[in-house]
Amino acid sequence: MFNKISLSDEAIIESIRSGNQKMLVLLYKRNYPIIRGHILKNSGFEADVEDVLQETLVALWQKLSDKNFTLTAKLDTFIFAIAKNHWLTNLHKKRFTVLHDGSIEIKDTISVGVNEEMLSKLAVYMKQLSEVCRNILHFYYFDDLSMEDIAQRMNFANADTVKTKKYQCKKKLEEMVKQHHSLQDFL
Amino acid sequence: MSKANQHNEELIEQYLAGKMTAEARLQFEEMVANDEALQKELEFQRLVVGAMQESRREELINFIKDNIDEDKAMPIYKGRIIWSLSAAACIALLIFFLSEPGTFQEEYQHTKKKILSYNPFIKGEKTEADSVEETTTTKSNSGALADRKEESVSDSILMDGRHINEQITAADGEPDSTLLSYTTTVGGALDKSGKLAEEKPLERKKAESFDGYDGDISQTLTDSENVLSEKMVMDTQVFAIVIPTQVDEMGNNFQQNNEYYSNQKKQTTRSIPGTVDNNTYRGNENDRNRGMAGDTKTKNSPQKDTQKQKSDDANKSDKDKITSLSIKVEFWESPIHFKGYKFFRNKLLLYGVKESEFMKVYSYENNYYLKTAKGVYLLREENIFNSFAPVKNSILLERTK
Repeated sequence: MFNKISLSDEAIIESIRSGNQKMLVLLYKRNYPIIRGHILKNSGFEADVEDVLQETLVALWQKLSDKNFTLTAKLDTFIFAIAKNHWLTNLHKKRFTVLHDGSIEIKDTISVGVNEEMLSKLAVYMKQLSEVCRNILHFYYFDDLSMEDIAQRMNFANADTVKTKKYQCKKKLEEMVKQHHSLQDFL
Repeated sequence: MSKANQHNEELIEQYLAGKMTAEARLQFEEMVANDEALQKELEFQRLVVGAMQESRREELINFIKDNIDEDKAMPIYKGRIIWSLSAAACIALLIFFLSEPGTFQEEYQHTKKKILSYNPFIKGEKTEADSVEETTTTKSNSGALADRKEESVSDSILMDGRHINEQITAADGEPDSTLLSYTTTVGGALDKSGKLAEEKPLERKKAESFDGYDGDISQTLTDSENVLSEKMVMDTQVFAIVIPTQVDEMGNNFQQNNEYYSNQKKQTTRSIPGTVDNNTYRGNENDRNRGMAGDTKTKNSPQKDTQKQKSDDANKSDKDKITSLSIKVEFWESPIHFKGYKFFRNKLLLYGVKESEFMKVYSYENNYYLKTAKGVYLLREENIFNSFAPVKNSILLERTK
């Protein structure tokens, strides 16, 4: 359904900054072939393509959230550059050997840090929060929106209301985490 | 919560968000180093904030996955399907077009015949006297391709008042020395006056030879060739002008080139070096040389040889100045409006170039170049189709002026 949309880079960036997640799907489809080609050419497999592209688009989303960020290249070029870096980082994490026939055998992947694993565990508690709480925390801590922007996007009366709500939501999360874990678990 | 704790939380938040100044950051880190409780709180907050960010990251990825899953393979496979279907449709049309001898094909053949018959390089006026009408082969709508291949008729069409010259092979296989022009109409198609013609025999109008024609009448255009070369508009013979690479004081290199190409030229027919052979339609002769002419019966007569010799002699004076190499040039129509060329084994196929645009072929440093009114283009000698690559070499541009 998104294939028929033909938008300029500026329009896509504007749309992403206004919180339109559908743009990620559009960019995913648009950039899939070229990034797939790059990864397959560089010791990657089909399964890697999706992961890298998803991570790339999330990074793009976060990058574009910064209103001071100005894109100097074409959006697709920028996406390709991010994807290339992601794939390079992934390759460094992987331990592989080149076989006689030139193919690559991946022995194993270096385990992700304890911190990353813990973050995934803790992220589960976010699902137990209300949608409003979750959105406020997401918008504030990931999308880097100001209280005013969050108020506007979520139809709150003003920034102060959002600030209060955010404080309450964060406390709820902290309580949940403290209930199930001690700080020693994470250190 | 005490005010101190609230203040610390704000500091932690700013620190984790990277919104502190360098100075404030150093100050805060020093504070953390000296306060164990603050250190623990910082680590805890780091995890909580990290969890919130991880949650958002997962949410976005899941959104992409959910929406991509609707038609996950679309960007690749949808394209492939479309291309596959397009290719299949093209092949089906091509098969239909080549095999079905119906009205559509007749119309197409008629249109092609008009194009094939158009020769813009005719010089001089040609009279329509001696309108000797000969009934030759009847063409009908239902005629199969096989029937057409049997015909060995050199025909041309009078289009828009322009006379098209073709040599006609006489019944005994010997070429007629006089030039003939004749009209032809194909049943079911429009004739020259724009009226829908019924099935009519070909009409030939014998015309006098004109002064500009200087011999070597050795080719005919047959219907079988029309079929074989459906998209070829016309072909001709040119001689590449050799631009000497380096001319020393004695002109040695130039002389060597001259000798080499002079020898080559003896094997070819008359023409003004470096220019398009304006007077002859050379398709059949060249096709015959390649074994593609089918059942063409034309042979060179002694009279032609004499004319050819005269022509060679006339050009000898030019040899000293300009060297040349014979190249067969074919003008082709591309159904996809492709503009480009294929240059292989002294044969140049031009696509999207009008005959009137064509000017000269140059040879320089073992490369060939095509010069048209629009510019000079490198001709890569490969058995593939290439686009025109403009030449920027100032020396070459200067020498091809």
